[in-house]
Amino acid sequence: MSEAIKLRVETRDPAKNKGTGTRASRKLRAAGRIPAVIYGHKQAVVPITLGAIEARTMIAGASHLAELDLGGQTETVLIRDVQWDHLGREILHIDFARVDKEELIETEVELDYKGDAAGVNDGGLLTPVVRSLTVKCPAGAIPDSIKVDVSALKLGEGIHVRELTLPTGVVAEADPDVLLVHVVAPAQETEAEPGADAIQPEVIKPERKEKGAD
Amino acid sequence: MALMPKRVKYRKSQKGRVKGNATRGNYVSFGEWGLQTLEPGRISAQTIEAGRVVASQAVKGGGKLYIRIFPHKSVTAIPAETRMGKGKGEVEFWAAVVKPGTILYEIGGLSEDAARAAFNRVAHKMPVACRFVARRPTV
Repeated sequence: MSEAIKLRVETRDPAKNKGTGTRASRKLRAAGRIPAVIYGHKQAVVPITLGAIEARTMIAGASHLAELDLGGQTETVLIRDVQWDHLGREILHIDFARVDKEELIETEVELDYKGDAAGVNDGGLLTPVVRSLTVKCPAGAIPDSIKVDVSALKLGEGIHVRELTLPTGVVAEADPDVLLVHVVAPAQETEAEPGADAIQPEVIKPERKEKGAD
Repeated sequence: MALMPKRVKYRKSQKGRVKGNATRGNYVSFGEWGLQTLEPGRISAQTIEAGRVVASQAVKGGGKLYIRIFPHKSVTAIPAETRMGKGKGEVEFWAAVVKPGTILYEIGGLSEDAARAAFNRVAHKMPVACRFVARRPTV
């Protein structure tokens, strides 16, 4: 469990339509700030901004919780959503949800597959099917990642949600039969058949309505 | 065998224009590392296959390759020294239309250096500028 990251944030200019909207957001991004919003707990929605570098550090650190200093008032928030640009380089917007540290919340936690699977030595390939898991836990006790030991996995074997050892107070919100990771035999490569390139796709012919049919 | 659809509603399609950026398929979903296009364009089934062959050699013996694009669009051409008219040409090849941000290939189970080296070779075969990307952090 990591400590909540402390960030200084500012409210957006209330004089200009709360500083919200496309043009205001673009100006903020050009100035090295990221637009964000705080909501939840049936309180008012607060549009805020935070520094782009601090935000990127927070997201790269896989933090879930943050403590936002909003002009002397501190809010404990959960990072609910992050919007990226089309190349995944820049953060466009962040959603923060108000939480209490004792409150039960649902969030995504990364699965960390540890160890060298025994089946890999037999020519198998360790294939993670799921890389993050939705868990329910107190907001103050969100694990950084869930460690899954794969060293005992033999060829053809897998680990399911029901076999996971979760930290105390953390419950997986997924079907217990969901496969997380398995060791499979590598697929055989198929050689190109000679003359196969000439084959054309089948054309779906639309059914024609008969004249006079109701 | 080069990729192409099994069934289509219409065999020939209009040329079209590639506008905007990728809003779907623009992050690494299945593997750990990806090759992302920075330009709009068309990638032919033959090129996709060439990239697959190069990347497969790199991931041999550990690692899995995912192809994230599929050639849905048919491209027609008329033979050389043919007079204009007489209708649209025959289907020459199939291509995938890509927008900036589209992930072309993904690799899982390899180290960053090995994946980077593999995608560097694949990127040289692509008709569009590409970059190496990692998974986004989970929040």
